[in-house]
Amino acid sequence: MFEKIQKLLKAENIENWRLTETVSETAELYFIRKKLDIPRIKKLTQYSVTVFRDFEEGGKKFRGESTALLSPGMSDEEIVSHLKTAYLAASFVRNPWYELPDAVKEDRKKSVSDLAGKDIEETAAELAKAMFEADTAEDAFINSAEIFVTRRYTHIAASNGLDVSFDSDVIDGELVSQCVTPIDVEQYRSFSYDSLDREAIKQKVSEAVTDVRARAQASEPPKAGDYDIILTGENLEVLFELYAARSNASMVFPGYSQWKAGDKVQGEDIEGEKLNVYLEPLDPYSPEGIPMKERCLMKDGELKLIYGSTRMCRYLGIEPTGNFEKIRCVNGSVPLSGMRKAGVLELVSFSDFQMDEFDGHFKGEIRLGLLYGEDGTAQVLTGGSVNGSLLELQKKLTFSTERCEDRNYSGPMAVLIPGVAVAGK
Amino acid sequence: MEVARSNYIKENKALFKKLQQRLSGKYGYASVLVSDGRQQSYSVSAGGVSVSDFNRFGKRGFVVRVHDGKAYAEYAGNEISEEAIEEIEKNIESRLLDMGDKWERYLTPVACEEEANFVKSTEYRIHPEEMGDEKILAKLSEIREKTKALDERLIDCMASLQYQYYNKLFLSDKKDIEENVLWTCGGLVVVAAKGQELKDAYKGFSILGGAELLDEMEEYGPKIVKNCIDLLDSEPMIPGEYECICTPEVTGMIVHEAFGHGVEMDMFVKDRALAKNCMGDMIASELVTMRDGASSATEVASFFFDDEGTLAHDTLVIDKGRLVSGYADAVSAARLGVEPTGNGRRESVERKTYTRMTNTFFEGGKDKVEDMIASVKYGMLLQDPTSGMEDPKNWGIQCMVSMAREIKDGKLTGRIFSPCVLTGYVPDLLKSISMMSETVELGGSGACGKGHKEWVKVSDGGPWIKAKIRLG
Repeated sequence: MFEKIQKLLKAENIENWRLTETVSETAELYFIRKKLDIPRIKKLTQYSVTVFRDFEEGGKKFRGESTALLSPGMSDEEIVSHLKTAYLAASFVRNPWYELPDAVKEDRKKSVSDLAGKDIEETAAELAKAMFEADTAEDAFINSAEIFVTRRYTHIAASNGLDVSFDSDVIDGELVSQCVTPIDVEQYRSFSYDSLDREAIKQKVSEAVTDVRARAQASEPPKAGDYDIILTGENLEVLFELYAARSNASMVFPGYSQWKAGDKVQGEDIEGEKLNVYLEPLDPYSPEGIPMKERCLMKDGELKLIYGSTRMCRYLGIEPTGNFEKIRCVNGSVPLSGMRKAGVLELVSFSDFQMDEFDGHFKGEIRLGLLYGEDGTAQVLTGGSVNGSLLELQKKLTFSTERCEDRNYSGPMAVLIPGVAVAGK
Repeated sequence: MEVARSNYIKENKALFKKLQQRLSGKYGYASVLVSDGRQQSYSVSAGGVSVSDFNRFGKRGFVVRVHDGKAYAEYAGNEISEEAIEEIEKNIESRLLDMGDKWERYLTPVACEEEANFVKSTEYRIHPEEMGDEKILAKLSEIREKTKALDERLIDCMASLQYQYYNKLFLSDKKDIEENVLWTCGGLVVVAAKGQELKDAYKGFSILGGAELLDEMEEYGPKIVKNCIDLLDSEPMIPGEYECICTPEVTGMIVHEAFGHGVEMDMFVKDRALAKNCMGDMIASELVTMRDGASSATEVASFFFDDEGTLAHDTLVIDKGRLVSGYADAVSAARLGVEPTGNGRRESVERKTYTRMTNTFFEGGKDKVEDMIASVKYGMLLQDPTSGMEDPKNWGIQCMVSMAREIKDGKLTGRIFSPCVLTGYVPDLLKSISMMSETVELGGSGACGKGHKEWVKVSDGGPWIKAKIRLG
């Protein structure tokens, strides 16, 4: 099919195109408590063709593009019909002309994961087994869980000779922990690994059980007011989305973000830590076939990179880097124990913690908060909400020395942010 | 005009029927859901012009469901042929059921099915494919340019349109049913800057139909620009509990996110919903009557059967403040011993079925909007919802709106707060509803996730409501 589509593109005289084949197989296990709700297997092949069309109007050069999805088993007539429709659509897309990504031709990159070569069903079963090994308490337990083990082969080719391919293996899923007394409550956790990390999933279950047990003790929201807050774990990944979004060429080119390399985006008089942030890829190539490598985004609070996909980067006259899925932050100066001072509110979990890269606000409803007292004990709280502007507060950030390692985030376990508005009773 | 049938489904129906019958002979139950269709998205903004297949809901493919005597199992794929039938059978037996046999199963009876045999289609006035990409992009460009020209402080205006037509075939021993549906959605976003802070206003549009939606979009430009420019002078929200008037869009978010997810009955099976223990209880003001169903309204979540072959329903959920029913997919209904309500939905054939909402809304009341605003001594007019997150277990509210307009002595003062987080306990909010407008509006421009994934098209809405809400 991959070759057939290329032949048909040639027969239709479509000069510039990019073709991506994705073959994926997934084993899925859904549990209610420790019983299997439903097993699922899926095997799917998909082809995505982007066609480019050059044209001139009023002395200006344009390069339009349009994408069509093709399925295995399609007849030649059906494929040609999709290609023609996409090619016609591209002629109405009046985007200024730009250079397509450079041609790269490399051998298939095999998955380096320990999941490679193993049955996906077996991996799913082993992960589930490890998860339930940590689910031993009577009062707090896993209510339900979903596990997905996916093996994927991606092949990208383009009309200029670009030809790259790679394999990937990934485990992801989610679990809900429950504690029945004194208040019946639950907590949500997601996970994503590129290896069979039994200890990581056990740790995830242990944290989920500990947090939900604490949550069951909480019934009151905090008093409304300004607090020094601690955010932890995956919520830091969300917080860093502001920096990743505002330095992306797709926000810079339309003028949404005024940031440029060399800007002190954290401001001049930084009272807290100066940010040091890196962007890391999860796949060896971007969807456009650009070879991916780690890039420094911020050094001591100064922006080092505007990054993104080819069209936007070419318009800005910078190197196309592709987009990144992982953020690594190397900050950290104070142990968590040093942050947990009287009056500090540690926000352990939210219904849904969000960072709005447009207005710069982070916000969420508090599921579990710990308000530290003079004697070192913590009052457990639930309800109310937090709403703060990172653009205003970014000069005052302090990060923990303890680290958090996840598939999409590597960095400090916690951040202390002073003077954040909290809605409560 | 009626949405056309899929050639792919017509040409391969005999193969899918053969697959279903062979599996049915082997297992206690077997069904095949086949999906086909096309989806296209267009946008015009400062970032450029885009046309692409947006690849979310309507992939071509199929999902096979079998019951092995203990519970269900599923195999999904997108390659069908005589040879593929053999391979699918082999994969179900040697891989799928073997994977299930390693665990104690959650025993589930085979769901009851009524007999049905039909082909049904929704209607449209202008099919986007007939209108063509050139005219659609030209119209979006015109809307964008006209809207952006309304105020020089705007950085950008993005005009977008998406449509999907999908064709589904469901086969089981008792069913041979086919549906063909077309929905279209649009969006208008304007952006202005206040220093580093970007303020944006959004309006979504939706229709169970076609490109006729574009006419409606054109008229909305001045309103959305005013909202965005007003936001430039907004202040941070002062946390507290306020008397609030909610627009139909905000009502819809409360109906759907704060309450609606809590009566999805797959959550009852998992003991994850407080509503399970509240059936028959007064959980809202007597003014509140709520419905959900693919046949409850004509919107983007209207269809003839769900992804398990259950025919579309119109479910009364809250009757004058009393919780009378949840909604259920077929598997959850079988486990709970209740009737399924046509709410078994998948993001695509690649994904599992869960209980999902369809068109969900509060019925209207008797009040006039101007009387509702005039009745507020001090409070907020909440508009432009941005997102929400469910909490079926504890009925905690997390909903975000981008704008709260101050009301003092029954009048809007012009003071604006942004952004705002709505929190609190769902029944407290619903019981505090004291006024509801006559007019009811539904919208379905977005998509709904179950937790953090599994996106499906839904619509929600209701009247303007007056309620006490904690804002932060």
